[in-house]
Amino acid sequence: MNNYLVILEGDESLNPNSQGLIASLANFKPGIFHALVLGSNAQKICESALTNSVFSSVFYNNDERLNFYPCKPVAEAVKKLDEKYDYQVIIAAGSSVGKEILPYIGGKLGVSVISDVVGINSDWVYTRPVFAGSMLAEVAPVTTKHCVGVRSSAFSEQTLPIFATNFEQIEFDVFLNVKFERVSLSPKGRPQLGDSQVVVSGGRAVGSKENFENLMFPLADKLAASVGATRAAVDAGYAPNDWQVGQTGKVVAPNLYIACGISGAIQHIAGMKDSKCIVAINKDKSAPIFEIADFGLVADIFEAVPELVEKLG
Amino acid sequence: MKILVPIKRVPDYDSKIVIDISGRGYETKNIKWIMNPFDEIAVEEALRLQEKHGGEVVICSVGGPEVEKEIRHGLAMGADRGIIIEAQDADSFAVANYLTKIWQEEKFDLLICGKQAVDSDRNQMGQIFASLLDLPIATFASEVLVEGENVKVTREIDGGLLTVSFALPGVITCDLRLNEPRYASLPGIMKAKKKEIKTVTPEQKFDPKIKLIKYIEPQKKQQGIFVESVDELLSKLKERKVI
Repeated sequence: MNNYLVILEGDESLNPNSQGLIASLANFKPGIFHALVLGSNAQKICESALTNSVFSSVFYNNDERLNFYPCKPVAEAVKKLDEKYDYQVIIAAGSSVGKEILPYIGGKLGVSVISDVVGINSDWVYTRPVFAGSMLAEVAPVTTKHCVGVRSSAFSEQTLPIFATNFEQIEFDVFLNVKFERVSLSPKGRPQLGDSQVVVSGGRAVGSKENFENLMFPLADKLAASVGATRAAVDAGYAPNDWQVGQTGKVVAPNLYIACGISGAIQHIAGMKDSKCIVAINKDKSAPIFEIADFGLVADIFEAVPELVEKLG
Repeated sequence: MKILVPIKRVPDYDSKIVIDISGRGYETKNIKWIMNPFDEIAVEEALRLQEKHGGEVVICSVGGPEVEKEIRHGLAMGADRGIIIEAQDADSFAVANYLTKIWQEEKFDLLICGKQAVDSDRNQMGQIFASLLDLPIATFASEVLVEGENVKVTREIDGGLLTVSFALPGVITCDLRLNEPRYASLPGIMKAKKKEIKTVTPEQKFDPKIKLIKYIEPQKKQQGIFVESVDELLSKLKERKVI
């Protein structure tokens, strides 16, 4: 019987990355799924989101020092659980937390780590993007026990068997060799990237932070969309870093992606090319973005976007 | 501060990657090789820390004579010396292990590297290295502040920015916005020619922990169309049922 340990995150409830991660679990071979949730809201998350779930057991610890999932104690928790349950696969989402802790955990356990997986095949074979997503690689872990980082946006929701989940508080050494200083989060109020099935994204052509707000926000509001940005736009200060879509920013695959004034650098495309429908609006007909767009409109974004907002009614 | 900066030689973004006959490699004839851009940011940050706090910046890379050019570029930027760790076919796990030997022999204070290599996009090496030596680590750094033995790192996370701190020795992986790497000046390039690059042969070989079965060309997307107006765009999107 395959045993899996899945690392989940959230605050009031499970965050979208973790929800997407759970949706991807049907792609793994059948087995027993356990989960690990940490931080001051851990128990709350268990009770609100996991009472009837694919997990037969969820282990949690409410220590607030674990809120930011520091590597050393998280690895300690995983190691403790692994000693008891001997997991085949330890799974995390491709969130900033997952990307940091999973290879650390793999290093501590001395096992293979396969990150950013977009396909799960039979017999522990995985597909993952390389060269900024211009190529895929089919890879396999060398060790039997291994870690897998899942790109949640690559998997659609599938039905999973549901259990009356057992919650168990676990104790372990919370030794912090990295200390929390402060966190500054982007204001909520509009859906975050990954929350919405529509993303409206702006490039450097938008020209300023004010323009970003005046041009993109009304369109995003009309479509209940999240707002994304290219690296160039973020570097120029038009948008905060967590709006960056790209190879090394966020990877999204919404139903609709509207790229405004985005030329289509390979690194940006890597973050959105799996969107179900891509619209590109750009003055330059030869912009590479048009090569991957389903619908391209060669127009000035400062005319086309307001017109689009108006006609959306 | 004694800083170790591991770098990786990678294909330039403009190089077209063509899978070779075996399916497990790619054609390298027409590749333009560069230092991994994220590692270049790490070199720059190391140099800035050295300018503020003194010490030594050592560039290393796992490979053969082919990595000398990229190490030389780091030396031209201003690093002091280089090390080639002679080994082939090394993945993140293997590189991390090779680095532990260098780290322990020379007693570094800080390892700073790019968060990921733009060919494999694995984003693992720094984390594995830190786990092997039980070192504190801060990944995806967009700002680094050293105050004596204490390091404050601001990290780019999903919801915004998180600042953490740790006492040296430790590990930092760099994100895009940490800095803008300097160009190697002509005097820098000339000086670099005389700087030491030594080759070390590891006592123990580390096999990769990831087996590459084959490369696959991603499915080509169906060609899109140009629309002439916002009205046409709206009608197409409604047809597609995306709005």
